[in-house]
Parts: sequence; structure tokens; C-alpha cells
Amino acid sequence: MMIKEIKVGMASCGLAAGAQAIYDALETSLPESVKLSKTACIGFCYAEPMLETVDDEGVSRYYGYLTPRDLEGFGKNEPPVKKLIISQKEEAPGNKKLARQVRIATRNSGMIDPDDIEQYVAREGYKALEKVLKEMDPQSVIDEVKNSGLRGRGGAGFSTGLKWQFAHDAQGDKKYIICNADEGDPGAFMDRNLLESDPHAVLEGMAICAYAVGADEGYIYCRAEYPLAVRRLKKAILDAMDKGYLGDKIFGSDFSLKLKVKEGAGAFVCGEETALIASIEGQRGMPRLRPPFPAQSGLWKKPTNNNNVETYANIAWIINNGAEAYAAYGVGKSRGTKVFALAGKVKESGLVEVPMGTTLREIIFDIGGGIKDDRPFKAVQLGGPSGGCVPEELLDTSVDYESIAEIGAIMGSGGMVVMDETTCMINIASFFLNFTQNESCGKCTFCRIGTKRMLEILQKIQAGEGVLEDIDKLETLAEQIIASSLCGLGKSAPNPVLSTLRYFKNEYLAHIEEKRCPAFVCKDLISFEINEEACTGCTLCARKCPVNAIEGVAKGPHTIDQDKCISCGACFDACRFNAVLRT
Amino acid sequence: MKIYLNHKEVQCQEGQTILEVARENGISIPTLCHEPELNAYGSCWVCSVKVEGMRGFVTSCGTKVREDMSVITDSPEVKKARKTALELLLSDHYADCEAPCKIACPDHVDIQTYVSLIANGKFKEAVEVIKNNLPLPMSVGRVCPAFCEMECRRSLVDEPVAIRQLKRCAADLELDSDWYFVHDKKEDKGKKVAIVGAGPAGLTAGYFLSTEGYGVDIFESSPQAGGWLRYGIPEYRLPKAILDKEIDIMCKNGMNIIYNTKMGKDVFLKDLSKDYDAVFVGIGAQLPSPMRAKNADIEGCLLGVDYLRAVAMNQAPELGKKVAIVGAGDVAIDCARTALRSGADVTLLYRRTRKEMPAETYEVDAAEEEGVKLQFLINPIEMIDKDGKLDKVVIEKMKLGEPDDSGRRRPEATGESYEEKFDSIIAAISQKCDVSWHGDDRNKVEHELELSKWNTAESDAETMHWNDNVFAGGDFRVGPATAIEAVADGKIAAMSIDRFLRGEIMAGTHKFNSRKSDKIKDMDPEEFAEIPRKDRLKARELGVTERELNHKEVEASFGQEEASEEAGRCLECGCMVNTSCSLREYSTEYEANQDQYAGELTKHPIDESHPFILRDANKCINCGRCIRICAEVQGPAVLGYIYRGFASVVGPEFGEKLEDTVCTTCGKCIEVCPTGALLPKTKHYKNNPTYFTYRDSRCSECGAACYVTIQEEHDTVLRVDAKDDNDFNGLNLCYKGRFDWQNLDVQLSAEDLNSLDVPEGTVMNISPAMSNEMIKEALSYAKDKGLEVVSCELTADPCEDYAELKDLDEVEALVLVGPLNQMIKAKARSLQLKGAKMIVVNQLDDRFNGLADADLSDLASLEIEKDVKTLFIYNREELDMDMKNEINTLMSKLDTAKAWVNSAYLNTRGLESFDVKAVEELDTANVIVWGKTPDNCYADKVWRLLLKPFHVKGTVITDFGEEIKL
Repeated sequence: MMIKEIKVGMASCGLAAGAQAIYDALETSLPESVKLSKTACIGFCYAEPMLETVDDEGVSRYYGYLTPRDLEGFGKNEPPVKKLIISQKEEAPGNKKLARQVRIATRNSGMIDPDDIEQYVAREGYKALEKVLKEMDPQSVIDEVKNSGLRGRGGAGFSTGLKWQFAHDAQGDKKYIICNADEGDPGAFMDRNLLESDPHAVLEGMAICAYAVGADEGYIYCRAEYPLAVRRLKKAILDAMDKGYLGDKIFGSDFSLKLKVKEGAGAFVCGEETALIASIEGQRGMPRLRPPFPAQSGLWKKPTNNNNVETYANIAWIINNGAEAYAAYGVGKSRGTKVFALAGKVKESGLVEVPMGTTLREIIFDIGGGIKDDRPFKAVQLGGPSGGCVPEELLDTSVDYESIAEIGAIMGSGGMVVMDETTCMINIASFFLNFTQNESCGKCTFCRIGTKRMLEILQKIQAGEGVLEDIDKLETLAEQIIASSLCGLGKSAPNPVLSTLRYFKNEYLAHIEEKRCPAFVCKDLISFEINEEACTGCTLCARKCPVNAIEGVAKGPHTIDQDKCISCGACFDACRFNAVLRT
Repeated sequence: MKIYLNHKEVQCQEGQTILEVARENGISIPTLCHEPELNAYGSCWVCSVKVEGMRGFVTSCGTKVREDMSVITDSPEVKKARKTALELLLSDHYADCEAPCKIACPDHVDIQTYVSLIANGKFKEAVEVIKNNLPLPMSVGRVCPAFCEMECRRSLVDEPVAIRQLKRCAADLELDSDWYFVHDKKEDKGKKVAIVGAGPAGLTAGYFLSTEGYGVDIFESSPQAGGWLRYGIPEYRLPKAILDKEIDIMCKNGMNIIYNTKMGKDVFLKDLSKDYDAVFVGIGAQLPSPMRAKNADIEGCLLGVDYLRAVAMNQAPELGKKVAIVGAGDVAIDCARTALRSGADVTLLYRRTRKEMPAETYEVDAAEEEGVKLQFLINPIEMIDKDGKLDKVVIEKMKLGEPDDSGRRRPEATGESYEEKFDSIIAAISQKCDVSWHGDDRNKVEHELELSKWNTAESDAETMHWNDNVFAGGDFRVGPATAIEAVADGKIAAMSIDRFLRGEIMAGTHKFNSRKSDKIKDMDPEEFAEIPRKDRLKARELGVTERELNHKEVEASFGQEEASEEAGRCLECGCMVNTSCSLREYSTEYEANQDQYAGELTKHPIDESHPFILRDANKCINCGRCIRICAEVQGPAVLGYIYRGFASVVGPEFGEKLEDTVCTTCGKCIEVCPTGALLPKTKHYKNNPTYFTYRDSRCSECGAACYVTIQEEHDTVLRVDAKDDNDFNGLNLCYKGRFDWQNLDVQLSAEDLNSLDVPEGTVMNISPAMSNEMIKEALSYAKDKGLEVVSCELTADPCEDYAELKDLDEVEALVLVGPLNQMIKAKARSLQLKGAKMIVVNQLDDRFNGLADADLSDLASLEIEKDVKTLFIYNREELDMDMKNEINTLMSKLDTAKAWVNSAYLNTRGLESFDVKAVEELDTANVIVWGKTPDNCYADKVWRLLLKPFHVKGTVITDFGEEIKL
């Protein structure tokens, strides 16, 4: 076996783990016979930095957890066997991690160099656009998208084809399209990786959409916190214009399209489409009343179609492979595939794409490899800060829009945060509520003040000052906030509280009635003591204590001064003899 | 189309909102954020309604009707949602509706208002305000412990405002002059009320009931009226001549007092209840508690109440040389100081220490100053007589134990005692009510009149209603208390007796009251750190030697100037719009509780930087109306939201001060603010929340002659607003209309001109800002003196086709040329919002231009179709003649163009009609400038005949040729 090519994963996930150093080292050490290239997110983010080798038989092997010391072997064609994660030839058929996945939106992620338009073109890139412009009228494009069953991947799940139809039917001398790349959910990174790994797929999807709805100008509203995505997008736009895939008279047709990248200033609410439009217009990002919907009156009061990154990334595949091929995947009204960002206390976090209808258990255990340190699973948070926490008994729920909504969570954009027994559900509800309440635009009374008051009640419960009436108050406020808010942020902000109250009420009761935090997270409710019999007097705990609350002489039993103790747990984590007791 | 409103079918038009349809059908829906001039916004969620078949609630301002839509506006869940919205807003509303002094006052006297009136030198008006609640301010102004001052926020800066003395100073006007104030007596209602007891409660009830038109008879057991004020308060604190005068004034509306008539002896409650339509029992608590010591019934042992009463009746008993007073309340101090004035050597004996003394500190200090000796931790336990007369008192030493229910440490006997020689001992421990009449059948009415275990009347605290047609209040209801508390009961009794006799529900409505804190001790003094300190003024008092052996009044009144200065220290805590605030109105309607969702508050400094607009973000509810009206109608866009989430706040960008922005001071933001977050400032007047009169007028600052409403307080202009519901300027005024009156100079008399020596060659320049009558007068004066009359403000105008008011409604295109005032711009914008195209031609770097459909640099680039109804708007003083000619030429080419030529002066066209010539500049040194001085004219000798704005009398002609009689 001879290595012919090495591709280093250089999306944010790889770069953050040190991929640049790997690439630089390989650049100097590899023999000329081996081609070195960059690619982006391969999907196995947990193992970054990683690389893919392609041998003379065309077989790919993926190596992860790399350090520069491991690289020598690649130069000598003796890669470190224990760093091998997957060998496509030997493992792919029986590997659950791969077998469960269907890569449509992420079809090129980790395969190509995102900065090289030729590599995109080589994998059927811009074929769909050419086909649309040469062979299809706008209505037949819309019909194809409708038939595919594709629904908005930003979270709401509205039929993409229908949305295009509205924008198409709207009267207007000028129309716009927008790509919503303001991915803001904590723990979600699907859009970032799509933009970093395959920007042209998004651009091509947008171009097809623009043709279908009759727009000639578009914006990609991208978080400024995604500098790599912005850079790759900007380059991709220039390259596509150079090649004539964007700009005037594309593929010789009468269709022209100008795309611009607009960087968001970091307001979560700008993911809401009316706020996003206000932000592009240079106003404060605040949602407004609908109707009128953007399809009638959007950007600069013109008909505007707005879709999420992942939605656009699916379009070219649908045109190339046909609506039926896409609709073949999925269950019920949820067709095709969905990309998820698997994160939290899961062994193998990363980006996965599965057909709708896959169960949560399959995603977390088969693809994600189960819970870190093999602790018991406690909950998975779906749909970001506005989603819900799903308990173990519901792990066999099918992942599709309807089933997820039924259990009190939302599909959202695809964030999936896994939690084990060390997570306090009140703390997590408090965390997400704190996020949404800080990110409220401040317009609606209930969202601005109501979420703050809910958060204060949660904090009160965490401090051990809760009373049973607080639960009623939380529920009442939650219902009122959901019923009386203008946009999705407010309408869904109470979800983490409602879903934890629904599935983990005992934990609330433990905090309120017993003044106890079962997960040992809420500092005001836990205390530490040293079991003098077990204590060997190693002094490690005393040295770790940040507030010098532990006293004792070497080889003698230690004690904790409760007045000084801040319940940080450093001693508990440090003790090797289980002598620190936590209550 | 039709929809269903609360299941009732109603007709409506497509495009209407639920709010509009509901209002058309007489259903009131509250709203705070809805701005009628703009599209719906939907931020406050106070207008929630339920649309059947839709999840959650919708905003009625932001939801358009659909055929057969079923809307519920009044269900319990809808009301609960609105109430929650209000309660959430209130949980972050750091503001006081009413001033804490007013709330602290048992009688809720409108202190802030009368203090402001005193600061403005309006003493008589202050008396009127005081008497709205408190009809005997001269007396109460002398004896009140001033609960108001204890809560005065000024004490967080330095010391509380001397409210009691201010009240007294104003009230004493009645003492020192023939002037007095009583409310106008209403028409005779043909019913009569009996009152038992002419103390402060009975007198107050009697005064208000007689004013209301009822016949009032007061039955008083003593030979004179006043109750405790007469027989309990010593002369040196409240001279009885003053009390007499006050009671005289109170009787002016027909209250009749029948003296020496005691209930249970001379009259009986059963008869009163039958003979009168209602009875109020205010018999007080004047029965002294006995001394708890052995042998206390011998000669020389007196009770405080009896002693003070005897002194008041000039029957003072002989006390001897050495006198002991037992007790530490106000009555004990009064006894001590009175005894001292009879020449005795007075010692006050108290079981606890100085700290626990319930008497007012300043009274204790005064007593000590005058020579009363204070002895603490001692208790007389036995009287030893000599020949049946007091000789010695056995006094036990005490020590302090644990605190009791009152929070004061309990005195405990030590068992150790000694004897001391005294000629008299006066016990002033406590008083109770005399209810010896209560068991007698002759004093019974149909239903039981219950007494409490302390022998006080169990009448209702909200209404004073006892049972049947009998009411009771004052000390007889609450036990021995203060005069102001008795007055409060008397006032409440009068109001509920009036409602009772009119067959209405007796309880009054309670207005919602937002508070910064319940008690002053919970306030953060840091909030007041920037307020300059200014010491509280102290009233002069008689020196100690001047007080010896006489009963002269100790405390003097403030002089009026002093009082005004002291009143100026008031921090104006109560909200200036507490009578018009929508948030307060809805919170009252929905019985919102400010503490329901109490939590963290956002506190903001008040922005007083702007000369005319005050911004208090603490009162802001983030409804966004000011932001939107400024950005979308007025143009300058100086306000916006800052920050996100709970911290979000409205203000100029980057937290600038309003004064540092491009604000044009049009004041529209104040007009649209539903709370008191934006307020007009009045420079030369200390404002208060209670405006007295409203007068509609037309603004005389320019030819537009906008409709205004002037709020005045006794002939002083306090505030000018756009007149509600006018269809010309709407809520729009420019800076001049709304605020410029504050900058105007004093008015001179026309007669000044007659004595004038007019030099040769003098020209008379007359201002068009005058009434036609005044122009005529000026012309006749000029004719007499042979003066040439010109007007340099009146520049020539070649316009051939002036618009009339009605043309504004039909206009399809607007061309705004050159600088214009804010009102005209806003008017143009509102016409644009109704569908007209707006083109600006002014080469100005003005954010308003951003709202225009086209912003042209010159008229040459203007393209308008011939048949489009076009209105050219310009200001005749702002454009040169070439420009005006250009406009006129353009207009002549268009079929339907007209011009709205705004003049800086109200009567420009009126002046033309008098054949006054227009000049650009005057080439003479001697000018008589008649009327408002123009900036561009200079004169050797200038006599200003400045017009007081809004007081133009006569006929004026507006931009549209209207003749208005003012």
C-alpha cells in the first residue's frame, strides 16, 4: 500500500485542535510523491486534528487524535495504526457510524478543498444550476423542490417549495433571496461546517432559488463569529463569478445574480427572519409583526425568500438526483436527511447527517458511541436554547419534525447536546433561559421581563430558596410568555423550563423540598466533608483548595472549614482515596 | 365583511385591525405601544385578544380582521394576560405615581402640589389645595407630627422639606388678612346629617358635608368646638384665637354647632338616627387612664387630660411648687410645659429611657430647654399623703428588659425604691373613649353598633360606616391618635355619607400607585448623590426667657419669601403625569399588583440635559413610540433601543445626552409617551402634577396657526400641547409652538409710545405677528406722527395660487422647498403616509430627507406630471425671490399645483391687506419696531411691544387665508 494523497481536515473544528501545525509539518516532511491537500470538516470532530490518506488502490483511511510526532510515519508510509479511526475498505460496511448516515447536504464535506472551485465542479458542482437554467422553467424548479418534501432546516420546518412559491407569486419589480447563516444556538455548528466545508453547495442552492423565485440579488447573513466561513464564502463568490456561475447572464441565460455576504453583529435574534432583514437594512435587529410576510414585503419592502444554509445545501442534489430520490429518505411528512451537531457528554461528538426517522438512541449510541466515561445517560437537549430536554425513556423517539414536537422539544436547527447524571436539569434550564433572556431584543413585554422573572425564580430554586408555589409561577409565566410573544425567540424561550418540569420534576422538588441538588451542581445546596478515617493526609486537597479552606498536617486527617468553603468541588475531584464526601 | 366580537356579529372593512373594529363597536381594549400615525408594532402586549382557532394570543393592534374571524376581548384568560403584561411592566417600573409624602399623610393631602404653589409664590392657591383634604390647616399646621416629613425623600440629600411649616405659612394668610378660602357650596340636597363631637373628625366631616349641600348639625358636649385641639393642645402650641377663626371659616358653608349637648344625656343616638338622614359619631378618646399606683386618689394627684382641659377652660388647679409628670407621650410633655408656665418646678418621670419616649423629639427638646427635668428608669408606685394631701411619692427604680410587641425594651422593676417630695403629680399615661352611653337602649339603632375590646367603634376603615345610617371615625375608631388621622376619617366619612345618601356604593375607588419603595429606609441615597445640598429652613421660635410664665405661641411662621425658598427644596417625587398616565389608568382598571413579579429593577439616571425635554428611563416601558415617531414621522431619529434583553433601554444612541443629538425639540416624543418617561420642562415655574385649567387656542408663533391646548395654573402658562383631535396639525407642534413661550420677554404697554419723542426720518417697522386691531392702531399712530410704515419681516411673495386648508386632503405630491419647521415637515410626512409622494428640495443634511421619496438638489431636476395634484410648501422668509419666482413659474406649468406658503408670522397676509410695504432692509437709523422684534432689523431706539403668545386678541389670518377670531 502506498499513500498517494493526504487530506488534512481544516475546518474550524480541525484548526482549533491544531490542524494547521499538522499541515505545516506534513508540508515539509512529505515526499513529493504524496499529494498534500486541505479539506474541511470530515464529521468526526471529536478526533481532530485528523487526516485522510488515500492509497494507490483508492482506499481512504482516517487517522485522528494526531500530534506532530505521529506524522513521521505518514512520510514513510507507516502511519500509526492505533490512530486509525476508520478504514473505508475494511470497516465501512459493518461500521454503524457510517452505515447510519446518508450524506446529502454534507456530500462534499471533508471530501474536497472548499477553496478550490474545481474540486466542487468535479463532483457535479453547478451541474444542477446549469440544468435548471437550460432545461427548467421557474415553476418546474419549484415543483421539484415541493415534491422532494424538503422543509426548512433552520428549525421551523415550513415547506421550502411552498415558501418559494409565495415569493415567486408575489408581485414586485425587484426580489431578493437571503441565506440565513446566523447560526446562534449554543452547541450547534452545522451551518458553520457546511459553509466552511462546501460553500459552493450553498451558493448553487441560492442561485437555483433565485432563478425559481425571480430574484437577482441575494445576501448571505453570516455571523461575524464565523470568520473562516465568511472568508471561504467571499472567495467562493468571487470564484463562482469568475467562472460565470454567478453574476450576469449565467450560463448564457438571461438570469443574473449578485450575492453579498453580510456579517451579523452577534445578536441571536437576528436568526429570526424579520429581525435579520432589519439588520441587513442597517436597523437594530428586532422582529416585527407578520403579516406582511417577507415573501410579500421583506428586504427593502420587496418580496424576499429566506432559507437556512442547510436548506440551500440540499437543493443542487435534489435537482441532480430528482425529488423522488430525496423523498425516498425519511418518514411521514419529514423527508430527506437532517444534519445534527452532536455535542455534550457524548463520546464521539461531531457532525452527522441521518435520514429523518432515525431514532435518538441510534444517533447518540450508534453514531456517537454512547456516553463519555460510560456514565448513565440522563437527557438530550434538542433544538438549542429554545428546545427541550428529552429523557431516557423517550430515546427511541424517531427524529422527525412531528415526533420531536410531540415530546415537547423542537427539531430546531439540529443542535443535540447530550447530558449525563452530572448535569443538574435546573441548572441547564437556567443556562438556556439566561441565554435567551440576554438575547431577547427587548421589544415584547413578556419576553423582555417575563423570561427575566422566570430566570430569577430558577436561580432562587438553585440557591435553595425556592417554594412550591414557584413551580406554579414558572408554569404560568411560561404559558403566558409563549402565548404573548411576537417571534420565535419569545415563543420558545420557556421550553427548556417546561420540558425539564415535564420530565424532571423530581429534581425541582428535590431542590425545593429537600434543599438538595441530586447532580451535585448547585453550589448553595452541596457541601463537602472529609472522612477522617479514609483521609491519608496526602495534603493534595489542601493544595488544590482555591480558598485555603482545608486544614491539616501531612499524614494527619484534614478538615474543611465550612465558613470558608465555596463548594467548588476541587477537593472532591482531587482526592484519590474517596475521602472527600459530598452531600 | 363581518367578524364576531365576543360572539356578536359586527360589520367591518377589510384592512382594519381588531383594535379599530373593537373601538368602533364601543369595546375598549387597552394599549400602550400603539401609535395611530404608524403601522402596528406590537411590543407591549397589553392589547392581547384571543382569536378562536389560533394558538396563544394576538395583538389587537397588529392583527387585521378576516372574514368570520371570532375574536374574544373580555374573557378571564384575556384579562389575565393583560394583567400579567401590566404586572411585568410594573415590576421594572422604578417610579412613584404619587409622592411619598402624600402617601404617608393619613389624609393624603396633595403636598407636592401645594409645596410647588408655595415655591411659585401662589399661597392662596396652596390653601385651596390643602383644603381639598384638610379644612383646618392653621391648626393642623401647628400640631401635626408631620408623617409626610418622615417619608420626605429630601432627607436622603440633607433634611426633609419643612412641609408642616409651609402648610402653616400658607394657611396663616387667613389669619393675617380678611381673605379666606372655602369651597363653593353646592346646591342644597334637602337632606341633613347629625354629627356627634366637634373635634377634628366631626368638624371635617361637617365642613365637607355642608359644602356638598347637606344640612349639618354638630352636637358638642363642651362649651366650645375643637375637641382635643382645644382641650388637649396647650395654648402655646395652638393659640385658641386661631382655632376659633378656623372653626368660624369652616362654618361658612352652613355647618351648625350645638354646644353643651352631650350624647347619652341631652340627645340620644336613636333619635338622631331617626331625625337625620345620617349620623357621624366622632366623640374622640378623652377619658384619661387612671394612675397605676397605690393611694393615687388623694388630693394633689391629677390626670393629664383633666389638667389640660382645666387650663384650657381657665380653671387651672393650684399645683404647688414641685410637680411630677408621669408618662412620656405628647400629652405628658404638654402637661409638663404647661405646668412649667404656671411657675412650677417640673420633673418628668419615665419608666424607660429617652430613646423609648413616644413624644416628638422636638417637643421633648423644647421641654428640656424650658427647664423640665427628665428622669428615666423610674416609676411612682405609691403616694404618701400628709393630711390627705400629697406629700411624697415612692419611686421604684427600673431596668430595661427584652423588647415587647412595640419593639421597645420592656421596663422591669428592680425592687429598689426611694421617696421624693412632690406637691402634685400629673399622670399622662393614655386616654380611652367614653362609651358609657353605649349600653343605653336610647342610643341603640336597628342593628348592633359593635365596639372593639378597646371600646372603640368597629366601623369600616374604608368608609367609616358603622351600621344602618350611623358612621363613626376619628379617635373613637382608632383610639388616641393625631389630629390629621381624625381629619382623614372625617373626610372619608363625608364622602361615603354623600355616596350613601345618593344610594351609591360607599367605598371609593383606589387608584393604582407605583412606588420606588414602600419606606424611605429602603431607598438608596446614592440615587440622590448629585442633588446639591441646601439646609432646611427653621422657623423662628420664642427664646426660652420669652416663654416664661406665659402661654404665648412658641413657634413663629415662615415669611412668604422664606417659605417659597424652602418649598423650592422639594424634589418633586410624584409623577407629573399621574393623572393622565395610561399605564396607571390600565393598572387601576386591571387591579395590577406591582409586587406580583418583583425582581431586579433597572435603575437609570434621569437625563435633564435638554433644556425642554426631561427623559426618565426609569418610567419607560420600552413601547417604542418615541423612537418610531421620531424616526418615521419627525425625521431626526435621535432615539433608539440600546442593549438587549432585560437591560434594553430607550435612549439616544451610544447613551448620549438628548441635548447632544440632532433633536429639533419638536416635543412629539412627549406627546406620544404613554407614561411619564418623557416630560416637558418648565423653566421658570416649579411644576406639579395637578394642572388646573385647560384652554384651547391657536399658536401665534407663525402663520400655520396650529391648534394648541394651554395648561394653566392660575393664569400662569405651564405647558402647551397640540390640541387633541384636531385635523390640521394633529399632535405636531414645532419647537416654537411647544416651548418658545418660555423664552419670551415681558410685555410692555402700548401707552409707552405716546410719550415718545420721534426724531425726523423715523420709519415704523411693524410686525405681522399682531392682531388686525393692533395693526390698525399702529397705522393710525404712524399717520398721526407722519411716519412711513413698512415691514421688513414681510418679504414679497410672488405666489399666485395659495392653497386652502381643504387642498391638503386631496394632495398627491408634495414638494418641500428650503428649510421648514418641524410641524410642517411632520404634516407633510403624515400626508405622505396617506399616499402622497414627498419630494424635498433643500440641499440640507437633514435626516428627515431620508424619509422623502426623492431628495433633489434643485428645482430644475423636479419631474412632476401635469395632472398630479401638487402642493409646493415653502417658508416665505427662507427663500430668495429668484427661488420663489422659480416655484411660481413651475406652478404655472402644472394644472393643479398650489402653494402652502408658510410665514414666520401669523398675520403676514393680513398685513398685505393693509397695504404695508415689504422691505428687505431698513436704511434709517431710527426705527420704531412695533411688534415682535425681528432678528434682521436693527434700530436706534426700539420699543418692544412684545405679544404675549397665545393671548392674541382679535382677528388673525393664517397661511391658508383663514380668519381666526382669538
